[in-house]
Amino acid sequence: MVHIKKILSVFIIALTVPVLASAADYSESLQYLLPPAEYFGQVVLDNYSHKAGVSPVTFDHWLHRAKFTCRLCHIDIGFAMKEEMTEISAADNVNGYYCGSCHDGKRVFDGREIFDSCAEDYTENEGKRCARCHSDAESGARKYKYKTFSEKLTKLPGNLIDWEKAESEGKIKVTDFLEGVSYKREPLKAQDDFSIKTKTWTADVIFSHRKHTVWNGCELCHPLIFPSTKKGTTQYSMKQIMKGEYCGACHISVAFSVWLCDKCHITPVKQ
Amino acid sequence: MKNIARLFFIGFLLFNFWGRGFIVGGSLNTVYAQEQGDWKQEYAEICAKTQNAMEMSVAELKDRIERADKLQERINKLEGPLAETEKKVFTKRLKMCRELYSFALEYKEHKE
Amino acid sequence: MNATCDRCHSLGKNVTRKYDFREFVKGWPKERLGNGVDWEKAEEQELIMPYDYIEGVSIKRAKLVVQDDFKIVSKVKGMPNIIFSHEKHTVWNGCELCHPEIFVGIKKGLTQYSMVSIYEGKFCGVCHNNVAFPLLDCQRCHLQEVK
Repeated sequence: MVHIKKILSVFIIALTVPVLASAADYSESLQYLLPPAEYFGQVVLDNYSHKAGVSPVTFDHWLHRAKFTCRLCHIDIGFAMKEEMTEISAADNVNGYYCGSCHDGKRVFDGREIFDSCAEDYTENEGKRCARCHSDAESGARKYKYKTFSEKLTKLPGNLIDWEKAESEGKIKVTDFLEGVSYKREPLKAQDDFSIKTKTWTADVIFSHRKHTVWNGCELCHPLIFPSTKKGTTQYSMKQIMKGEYCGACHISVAFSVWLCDKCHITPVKQ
Repeated sequence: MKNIARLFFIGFLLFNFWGRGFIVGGSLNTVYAQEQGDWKQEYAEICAKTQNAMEMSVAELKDRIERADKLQERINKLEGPLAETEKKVFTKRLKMCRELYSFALEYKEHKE
Repeated sequence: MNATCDRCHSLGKNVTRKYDFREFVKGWPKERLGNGVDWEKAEEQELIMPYDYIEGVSIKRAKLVVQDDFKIVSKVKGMPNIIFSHEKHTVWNGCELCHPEIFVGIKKGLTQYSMVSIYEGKFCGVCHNNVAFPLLDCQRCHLQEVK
C-alpha cells in the first residue's frame, strides 16, 4: 500500500516538471485564454448611448495607460473600477467631469489640444468627433492605431504590452498629476513588499507594494478592493480573483493577465 | 355657605374638564393647562447653553440636567392634537441637550 | 399622486427636479472624490452661506466656545497621524450632534476604534461615509507625518 502511494506521488511530481519547464513557453496556449492584444483592457460603455441613438463607447485602456497613472483617472477624476459603473452621461462630460475633465477642447497636453468630448447639440458634421469614442476600434474612426503604437514596445507572453518595461526603457512617460484635475496631497509612505503563502502546490506570491503604488497610490486598492490593513485578515482564492475580485479587479484586463502565473508566483517551488 | 362653595368648586372643575381637556388628578388640571405653552420656554432656557457646556460649573450642569429630567416628565404628559408630534420632536431635542450636559458633567467630575 | 408630491416622493419615477445638481455647483471650487465639490472653500468664497438659526424653530443659544484640536495616533505603520479639528467640526455641528451619541468618551483615548468601524458607519463614518468628504480621501485627516 505504502509503495503505491510513493510511486504515485513520484509520478505526480514527475509530471509537474515538464509543466513547469514549459511554464515560460506557454504563449501558444495563451491565445485561447486571452483576447487579441488590442482588445485587452477594452471596456464598452452603454449606460445611455443606445438610448440617445449613438453607438456605445468602447474605451481601450492602452492609449491612456501609456500617458497617465491609474490613480489619476480612477481617484482624481473618479472613474469606477467596473465597466458601466460610473454612468457617465454627455452632460457630465460637457460640464467638465469624467472624460470632460480633459476632453474639453481647450486643455493642451503633449503639445496638442485635447478634443472636446460630447456636446449638447451635435450636427452631422460633428459626427466624426463623436465617433472617436462612440465606435469600436475597427471602424476606422480612431486616430491612434494599436498596431503602430505597440510595435516598438516589449511584449509579454500573449503579445500583451509589458508596461513596466515600456516605462523603465523610457518609451512611455506616465503623468500622475494634472493641473486643474488633480488635487495636491502629501504623499503617503509606500508600504512594504510581502509574500503571500499559497495553499496549493503553486509558488508563493511576492507582492510588491512599491510597484503597485507607483501607478495606483493607496486609495485605489484600499479599502474598496482590499479592506484589511493587517496581512492575513483578508483571505481569498484564485477562483475569486478570476471573477474579478481582489487582484482580479485589474489583472483580468488592463494590467497583465492572471494567466501569466509566474509574474506573481515568483519564489521557487517548495520541494 | 358650604353648599355654595361646593357648587362653585364643582362648577369650576366642570368648566376645566369641558374647556381645557381631561386629566385625572383634580385641581392639578389647571396648573398643567395653564403652562401648556410654557414648557417650550423652559426647554429654550435649559438648552440655551449647549454651545458652551464646557464652561459651565458642575453645579450649573447638575441643575440643568435636573430641570431637563423634570421637563421630560412634563413632555410625556402632553395633551392635544399636536401632542404626539411635539412629544417626539421635543423628546429628541431635549435628550440631545441633556445628554450633552451629562457628558460635560462627567468630564468635569472625572477631572476633579 | 399629484406632481407636487413627486418632487420628493420620487424613487423609481422619472422626475425632473427643480434644481439640477451640476448647474447648481457650476464654477464652484472642486475637490476629488465624493460629489466633487469643496464645500469648505465654497463657504470661504461665500458661494454658500449656511444658516445656523431659524426664527420660530431654533432656540437662542450662547456663543459657541471652541474646544481644542488634537492629534489621534494612527496604529498602522506608515499612516500619518490624524489631526482632528474641533474648530472646523463645531462650526457646522455644534457640540451635541457628536457628543455623546457618536463619541461617548469623556477623555481623549477612552474610545478606541479602527478604520473598520469607521467604514461601517460608526464614529467618523457617521458623516464621512456619505455627506461629508469621503473616507477614501485619506490625507484629508491623516495629516501628521510620523517620523
